[in-house]
Order: sequence, then C-alpha cells, then structure tokens
Amino acid sequence: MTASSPSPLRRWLPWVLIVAAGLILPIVLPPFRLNLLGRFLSLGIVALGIDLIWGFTGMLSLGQGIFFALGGYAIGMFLSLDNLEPGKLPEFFDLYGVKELPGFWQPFASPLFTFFAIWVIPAVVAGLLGFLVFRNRIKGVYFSILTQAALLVFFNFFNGQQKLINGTNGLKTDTARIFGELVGSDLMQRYLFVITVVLTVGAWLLCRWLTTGRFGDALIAIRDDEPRMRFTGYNPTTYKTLVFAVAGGLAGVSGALYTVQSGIISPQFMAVPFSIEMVIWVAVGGRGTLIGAVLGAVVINYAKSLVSEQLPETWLFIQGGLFLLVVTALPDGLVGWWRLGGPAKLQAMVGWPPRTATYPSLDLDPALRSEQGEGKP
Amino acid sequence: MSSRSAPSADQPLLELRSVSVSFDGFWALNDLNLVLAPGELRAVIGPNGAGKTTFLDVITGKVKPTKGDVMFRGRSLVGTAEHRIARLGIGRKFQTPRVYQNLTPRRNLELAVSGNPSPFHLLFGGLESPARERVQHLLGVVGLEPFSNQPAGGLSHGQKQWLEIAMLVAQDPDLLLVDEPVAGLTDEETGRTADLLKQLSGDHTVLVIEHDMDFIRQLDSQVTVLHEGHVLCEGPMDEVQSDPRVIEVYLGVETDDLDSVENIA
Amino acid sequence: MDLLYETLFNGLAIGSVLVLAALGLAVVFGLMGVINMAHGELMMLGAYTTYVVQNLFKEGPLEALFPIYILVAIPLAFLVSGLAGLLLEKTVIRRLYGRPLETLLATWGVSLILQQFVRSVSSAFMVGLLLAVALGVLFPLFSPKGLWQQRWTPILGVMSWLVAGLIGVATASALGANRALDQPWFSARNLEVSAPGWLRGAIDFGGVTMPTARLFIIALSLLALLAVNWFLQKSVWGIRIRAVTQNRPMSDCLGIPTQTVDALTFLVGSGLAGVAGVAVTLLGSVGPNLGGNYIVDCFMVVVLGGVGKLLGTVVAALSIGVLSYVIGSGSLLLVWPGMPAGMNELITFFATTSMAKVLVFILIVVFLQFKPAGLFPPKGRLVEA
Repeated sequence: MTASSPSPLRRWLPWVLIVAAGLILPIVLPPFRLNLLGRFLSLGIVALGIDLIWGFTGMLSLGQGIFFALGGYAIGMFLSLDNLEPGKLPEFFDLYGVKELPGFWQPFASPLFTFFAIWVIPAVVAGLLGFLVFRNRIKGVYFSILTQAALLVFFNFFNGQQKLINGTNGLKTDTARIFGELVGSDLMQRYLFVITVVLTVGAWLLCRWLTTGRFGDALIAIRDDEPRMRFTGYNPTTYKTLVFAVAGGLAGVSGALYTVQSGIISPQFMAVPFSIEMVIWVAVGGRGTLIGAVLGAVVINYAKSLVSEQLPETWLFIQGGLFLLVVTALPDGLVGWWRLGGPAKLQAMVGWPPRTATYPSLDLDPALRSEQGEGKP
Repeated sequence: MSSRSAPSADQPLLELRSVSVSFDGFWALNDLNLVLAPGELRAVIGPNGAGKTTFLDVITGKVKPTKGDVMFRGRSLVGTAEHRIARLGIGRKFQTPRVYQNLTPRRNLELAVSGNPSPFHLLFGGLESPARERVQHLLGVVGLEPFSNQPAGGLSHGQKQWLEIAMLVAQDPDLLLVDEPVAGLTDEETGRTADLLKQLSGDHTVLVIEHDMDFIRQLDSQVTVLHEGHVLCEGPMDEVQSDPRVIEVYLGVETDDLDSVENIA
Repeated sequence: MDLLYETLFNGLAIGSVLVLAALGLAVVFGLMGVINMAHGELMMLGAYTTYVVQNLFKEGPLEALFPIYILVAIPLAFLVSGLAGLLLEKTVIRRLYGRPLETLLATWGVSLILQQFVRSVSSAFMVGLLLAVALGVLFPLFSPKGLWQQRWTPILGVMSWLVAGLIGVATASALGANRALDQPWFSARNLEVSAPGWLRGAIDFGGVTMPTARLFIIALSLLALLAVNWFLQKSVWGIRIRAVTQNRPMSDCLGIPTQTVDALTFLVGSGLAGVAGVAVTLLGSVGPNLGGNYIVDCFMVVVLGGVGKLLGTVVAALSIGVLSYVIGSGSLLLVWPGMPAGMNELITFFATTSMAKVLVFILIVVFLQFKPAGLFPPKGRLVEA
C-alpha cells in the first residue's frame, strides 16, 4: 500500500517466521497450549471472511456462526459415521429410538463428499441467503439484523432436532478415529495444528488475492457508493453475493478445524453472542487489514481463555468494554492504528517528537514524503 | 460492450414519450416529451423543483415512470435495471460529486473505464494497456496526476467534480447525462468544462443540466426549459432567454399575465 | 369456534408483548437510524425494577398495597430504563452519530456489561463502582486547569480513569471481605416475581377463558400505544421529534435542538422498554438473559413493519405474535383434524415455540422479496438510491 518495493529481508521475514512457527511450535509447546493456539488460529479464518465482507465491502453480518457451524457439523457427521461397524448407527440415535439413518446423513460417510461439503455447503447457503437479501437492496443495519435472525433460526432448528442431529448435545468428535488414530490424541492434534497453519495462510492468500486487484477495488467501491457502481454498469448484487459466499465458505473451513480441535460441535456454535464476538475480533485487530483479522482472533481468544481461567465473572465486562473502546477510540483497530502512524502520535503526545532530518513540517507532509520515497534514513 | 452501431439518421438516440412520475400524488414529471438526436449537445435548465433530477432518474432507471415510455435506440428502458441501462451506453454524473472516497483517482478511473463488469473478469482479466493509457491520459486532462495515488476522499470539491467527469468520459457511454457539472468550479474551470463537453458531443450525445447561465451560453447548444415537470420551450439560448414564459417562470409572475400562465399549466 | 377465539386471544397476547417491546426500538430506529442492541437489557432492567418493587411491597408498611404494586412498578421501570438509556445516549451513541453499524456493536457491548452487572452487583460492587465514577468525573474538576491543556492530556485522561477504576476495584474487594456486603443483589439465578392475586385469575367470556395477566398486558400495550401516539402527534416535543425524523439538517436550521430531541427520544424509547419489562414479569421469571429472548423478535418487527409509521410496528408485532402462536401451538391440527397426512406432518414438525420461529422467519424473508421496505415503507423522495 505504501512502500513500493520493500527489501527482500522485509518481504520474506514474515514467511520465514510463519513457517518456523508452524514447524517449531508443535514440538515445543505443551499439547494443551498448542491445541488452544490451533483453535484460535482456525478462528482467524472465519475472521478473515468477516473482514472481507465487513472491512472491505461494508456488510456487517452477525450470522457467520451459521456457516461456521455448518462446516463443523459436516465434519462432525463424517466422524460420527466413520469407523462404525456396518449396519450400526451413531449411538445417540438409539436414545431417540431412531432405527434408520436419516437420508441427509448418508453422503457424509464419504470422505471425499465431506471434504467438499465443509466449504461448499456453507458457501451455497450463504450465497442463497445473501442473494435473497441483496437483490432487494436490503443493507446496513437491516442486513445485520436479518443475518442475526437467520442465525437464531438455524440455532433453533439444530437445537430442537434431537432425532436428526442430536439437538442440544451436538456431536462429539474427539473419541472418533481417523486412520486408526484418535482425533483427540496428542499426535493427531499436532497434525491438525500444522493443517490449521497451512489453511490459515491459504485463506489469507485467497483474501489477499481477492482484495488487492480490481476486484478488491470494486468491493471498496460498493462500500463507498453502491448506487454509483450501479450507474457505471456493475451489478453490486453479484459482487456482494459472491463475496458473502466466499466468507461463508471460509467460515465453514474454520468451523470444521475448530470442531476437530475442540472435540465437539453443538448448536452453541450458532449462539447469538458467539457470532458477534467474531466481529469484535476483526474490529480489534483492524478491519480492512487482513492480518489484523487473524491477529485479533488469536489475541482476543487468548486473552479470553486467560481471563476465564482466573476471573471468569469479569470477562463480560472486559468484552463489553472492548466493544465500546474499539468503536469509539480505535475505529481502525490495532493494526490500522499502527499503520496510520499511531505510535508516532503517541510519542508526540508524551513529548518525544519523531526524529526528523530536515524541516519537520515538510517531513511530516504525506504528499511530499511519498515523492521522496520511503526507506531513507 | 456498447456496440456503436451507427443508428439511422432519422432514428433519435433517446426519446421520452409523455413521461409522468408521481410521488404520492405529487407529479414531479408531467407529460414530458423530449427527443435527442445522436451526437447532439443539449442543455436543460429550469427553476428549482422543475423535475430536472427526476428526469435523469427516469432515464437511468432509478425511478420508474408512472406513465409514458423512455426509448433508447428504439428500445424501451422502462423496467430495466440501472446497471443494465448503464451497460447499454448511458452514463451519468451526479449533482453532488460522487466518487469512491477510499480509492485513489487512478483506481476510480480504472473501475469506470469501459470493459467487462463481471466479477470474474475483474478477478482473472487484467486491465488491457489501451485502457491503462486512457486512464493515464484522462488523469492528465483533468489535472489529477499529482494526486493519482492518494484516496479521492481527500480531494477538493472542484477536483472531485473533475474526477467524476473524467470517470464519465472513461466509461465511454453513447449518452452522457451530466447533472450540474460546474457547481463549485472557478470561471476558468467552467470554461474548460464547457470546451470538454463540446468536444465530446458529435461522437457522443451529451445532455447537461445546469443553473449557470454563462456556462450554458458557452455551450452554444439547444436549450430545453423544464417547468413543473413539463417542457416549457425549446430553442437556442438567445431565443429561450427572450421567451416571455421563461422570464415569468424565473422572475415570477406579473399579475396581469396570469391567464397566460394558466394556459401553460 | 371457541378454539379459534382462544388461539386468536393467545396470539394477540404474545403480539402485544412484542408491540410493547418493539415500540421503543422502532421509535428510536425511526428517528436516529440506530439499532439499540441493548434494548433487551433495558427491558431486563425494567423487569428487575418490578422485582425490587414487589419485594418492597411484600412485607413491611406497604404490605397492604401489594395488590397494586405493579401500578407503582410501571412508572418506576419507565424511569429506571429511561435514565439508563439517556446515560447510554449521552455517553456512547452521541459520539457515533451517522455510523449505524458501529452503534450496533457499541450497544451490544453495553448489553454485555448490563447482563454481567445484574449478575455481579452487590453492595460492595456498587460502592466501588460509584467511587470509581465519582473519582473519574471529579478529578478533572478539582485539578489545576493547566493539566488539561497539554499535549499529553489524553494520556492523563486515560490514566486518571484507570487509577479511578483500580481504586474502585480495590474498594470493592476490600468491602467484599464483609459477607453481608458481598452478597449479590440478584445473582445469576432466575427470580420469580409473584403477580398480585387479581392478575393470577382468569375471566370467562362465553366459554373462552382469558387469563387476567394477558388481558392486562393487552390493555397496557394499548395504553402505551395511545400515549406514544398522542406524544408524537400532539405534544410540542413529539412534533419536534417528527420534524427531526423527516429532515434533520432543516430542523437544525429552524432552531430545533436536535441533540435534546435525540436524548429525549432515547429516553422515551428506553422507558418503553422498561414498561415492556414489567409486562414480561407476568409471563415468566426474571433473569440476566431475559433481554436476549425478545430482542431478535423485536428486530423482526422493525424489519417487517418498516420505519414509516407506528401502525407498521403494531401490525407487524401482532402478525408475528399470532402467527407464532398458531404455528407453535399446532392449533391448526385441532381446527381442521381431517387435513391431508402430509400437511399434518408438516404442521406437527413446526409445532413447537422454537420451530415456529423458524417458519415465521422464512415467511418474513419471503415477504421481503415482495416488499423489501416492510409493510409501511417511508414514502416520497426521501428514500435513498
């Protein structure tokens, strides 16, 4: 965005760090902490999707939990069916006297189908829902509260259907086996961590590709002035539907990864507060900055787990305060604050103005600075 | 996309056939008839509330006419979505400058420059070099080169006006609808805008809405006067200006002329 | 036929709770375009106020007046929730004017804080909180003015609030050592509010029994509706509110104090939430999660009704109420026992309260395909492109 060509070191250093972290952390971190980190990283993927639709396109969805949980249920159903003796049903069906596997469960016995279902089903549901809303030019807070209502509807449905999907109890995954290995075992969790790192980086690359070119410009243009887009010949409905579907697919992947690492998928993943929490990760990290979304998800969830271990009753106060703080004082989030020269402003406040070589007023003038080029001492 | 098949000489490019628009019983347009020939430059004036902006809204599909029909190249536009009308070759500049605030002027123009508006094209197809050159050229024409890489939200009002005009030109429509292009511009800039629009006519058909009479005079074109959603009169500027009905509408009604006004209404 | 009336009556009762709950939300949304996610928690405050009033009247000198405690609770709940809303508007929402999505998130944060507040609040907590706020507010007033004109003033401000907060927490935990002071006022449990005897009976109307509590709620929402309508249509401030709703810049130019109008609207809207909270205590227990149960339904009322008119809110709330009840109770099965098997199965499938919500939502989305702006869309040229 700013510097035209950073030095090779600056360009490759983050990648080296990421790869190193992906390789070293599974070895050095104790299993419990590694598992936590993996879970939070997978939440970073759903945050990336939210950044795409909210940070770039300006649509605030309060219902990403739908797609998150759909991905989780897809893998949960697969794991419940896998390694079953022929002719037997997952245990919970016995409790409700169900003798025959419901039809929609059948395809989830196939690993290949599940692999696609994890992201295709959420993407299609999101696309459909989005299309119905966007084609009527419903936007702004109307869109937000409709997505929230849709979330509640999905929650009610999954929560109430014991005979179909085990209702409130959800599906347990940590006692299932893949390739003969317990999903909940330490070794498996280490593999899952590496997979999570790879998929998070992949999701980030996808979002970066989507947001940097002319397509990304179109998204920002829709956020800035949707009618103007229309009068230039673009159909915003197509763009919004597409990007909402992508965000839904990302949420599905995120949900599947989170499910296998936390050991259960239940309707609680579609609870109303959880989906709004996702938005605050992006807001704290910095909407409109992809790295901010991932960082926000990891940092806030880490803080949450720390606080919940020590002082559980204060977490809601802290979280509520965070919502207020970020919206009123840090609208660009931490990464945005950093990029927009926040540290320098803070420095100036304390009384150490940033070092300048020539006339300070000239050096601080952005118009002149961009012509001088970055990176000079 | 907008194939510029030369329309036959006698076929008008745009034709409004007794168009009326009602907002809750208030008739913003009332039996409006207007014909634009290909390549024509036309100015539309009228006092506040004459229905000028609604008139553009009807053409671009933002407002559906309550009665009547809008024909573009012999094809009705009524019921067509805005973006489809834009793709047919009708571009519009808004009354208050509307540019994408968070994109740079260059990116603004790159989005406007005519091409395939499908998302897949934007994702997989690059910007062809003629289009790129066009953008560069237009940046130069409107004097925004020095600012081409900072967000357009920080431009001055006049610069935004020019950027939006450049976007309209970049879009390369057959019909340009220009709503108050010189509001907030200096006299010199006004003159340059008039030159630009005159240059564009011929290849393009241009319809300008303005309050600034000096500017209209510089355009040196046919003038249509709107009043209460209806065409009051048409003709060259001098003729229109001396028309007693126009003077009444703009300067108020003299009491002894009351019956003639009633004839108009 | 009786069954039909009974179904209608119960649906109306549910709908009128929704009218009460959504009325305030709709008024605020119509004026400021702000969705208040803490609206449900303001209802909760009203419900807790009712609980407190009920406890005051249960024994002691006021015992004789217990049957009418609810009439005392209504204005008090209006006041408590209204003032809480006013505080919210003055401290948070005012800063976010013109940024509806941010307002939505901020008010959600407030709703979380309010929920945890009623769970945690104890005498020690309250003393600590009041002390911290008092210190934070008073420090700038009683310190040299020069401190507040420096370039580092923002940091001083943050620091002083931090210190005030820490002192508050320290005080609260010190006082918390005393058992009596540490006792939570409400705790996280659900509390029962016992209605006065006359609201626990039922009246028989030609074979249809109508619980008096529900009749009372219907009457209350009717009254609230009339009052709001009168206020908006006839009172000076109501007319100002309507003026600002239609054209804010113009009203500003004409000398209408738009900031006061915003504050007042928020006060009235929040107060109505408090009244709704009183009504809700008649239907079930009071708990920190009370707000969440109603808020999404209220949003649906606003979406379905449109922001143009109060009538939209009423019609939308009543239709959602009646529909939810008819579907959720499965009463169609009783009305028409001989229906085809497939339809029977379908109706049974949706015949629970939560599944009824599923179907109602689907119906709303289908409806919006035909009328995107709701039942009573705002008219004229105000609608944005």
